[in-house]
Amino acid sequence: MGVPLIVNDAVAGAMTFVGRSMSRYVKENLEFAETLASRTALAVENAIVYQEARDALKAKDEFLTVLAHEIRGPITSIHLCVQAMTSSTATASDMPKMLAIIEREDRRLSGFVNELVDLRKIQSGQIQFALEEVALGDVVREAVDSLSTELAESRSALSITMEGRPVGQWDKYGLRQVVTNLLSNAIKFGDGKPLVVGFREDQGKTILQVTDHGIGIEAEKLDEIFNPFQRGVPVRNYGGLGLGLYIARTIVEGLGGNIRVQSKPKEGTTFTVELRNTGTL
Amino acid sequence: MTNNPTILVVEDDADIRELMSIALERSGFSIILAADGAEALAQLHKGPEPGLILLDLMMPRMDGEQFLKELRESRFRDTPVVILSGHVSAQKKANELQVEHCLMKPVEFGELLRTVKHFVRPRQQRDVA
Repeated sequence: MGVPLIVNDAVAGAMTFVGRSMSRYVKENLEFAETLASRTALAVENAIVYQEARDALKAKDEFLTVLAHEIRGPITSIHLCVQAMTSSTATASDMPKMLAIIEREDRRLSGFVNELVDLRKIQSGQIQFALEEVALGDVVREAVDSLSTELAESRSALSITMEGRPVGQWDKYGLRQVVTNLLSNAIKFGDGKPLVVGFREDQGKTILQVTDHGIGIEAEKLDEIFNPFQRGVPVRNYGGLGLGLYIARTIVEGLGGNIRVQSKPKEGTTFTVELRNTGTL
Repeated sequence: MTNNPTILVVEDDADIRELMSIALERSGFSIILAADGAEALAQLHKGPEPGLILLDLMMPRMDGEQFLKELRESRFRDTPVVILSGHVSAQKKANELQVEHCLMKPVEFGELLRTVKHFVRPRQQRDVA
């Protein structure tokens, strides 16, 4: 006699009962077997829930560790600047450089706070879009401007290719964040090689592509990189909160579009965003 | 050139690298900069030999731990190393890796200088050795 083990509404296995030869199973035996199977299934379900809760807590712990580390970088720079300025270490000619560093690090810190606020908004379903007429070219230019220092340091050359002048009903702040997140990843993982940001109109849709020729992403990681706290590379080599692509995907999908990735290790990565020019909502 | 001891600063954050070099240079040290472990190894072999290595742990290409492994197998194995990291378990890691000292980010200017002065190996000592 066999009874199914049903875990989370799906058959996860079966319990088989073997009796003495010639004996017959009666209705009570079946009821007993079914009760035993359902209790076993419940135990398996509990074990799964427990494992998931433990994994979630572990992910949160790891995230807090990364967050603390990422915040310490800019704070260290600001700290050293202020101390150099208040002691006699820095001279008058160092001041413009020092102020530029403080400004940049302040922006980095604000960026982390914005990512955390976005994460909270997404997870509590509070993300809202203000649709207005937006030219993608303007958004790309703003994103490139905001990353000019990082771009210069990376030694990657950036080329921008544009076909037409895509305009749509989009959320400007959200779209800028999508382009900024994709471009800052391209800079970070681009290994100093050329980067391309291209966008074009295609039958009522706008296609945006961000390509690098850097370290690439292994095939088995490609499905995970859009999930929160996931990263395509070890955190000990590349920092960041592991939220950029998750936030980008949420915004793109919220605007009725989609985002996909193509990548080959050591050859590079292309992210493609497809947006309807009308937007949604 | 000067006879000041040389410090090799291995740090992927360009701003921190620059500020370290300002702070240490004005305090009389010569500075060599590297953005990751691989660059640091190249700098070591190019010379001059540093009297101390200030090492970050999390870096692209080659992280601090891997760098230390390679350092210990090289002729520079006895160079004093001070870890400078923002990672919560940096102190534990520093103990495991048996380096001279560990400084946590954000670091105080005075503490940085005191630590460097304490652990740096003067030129003469290395030349005799």
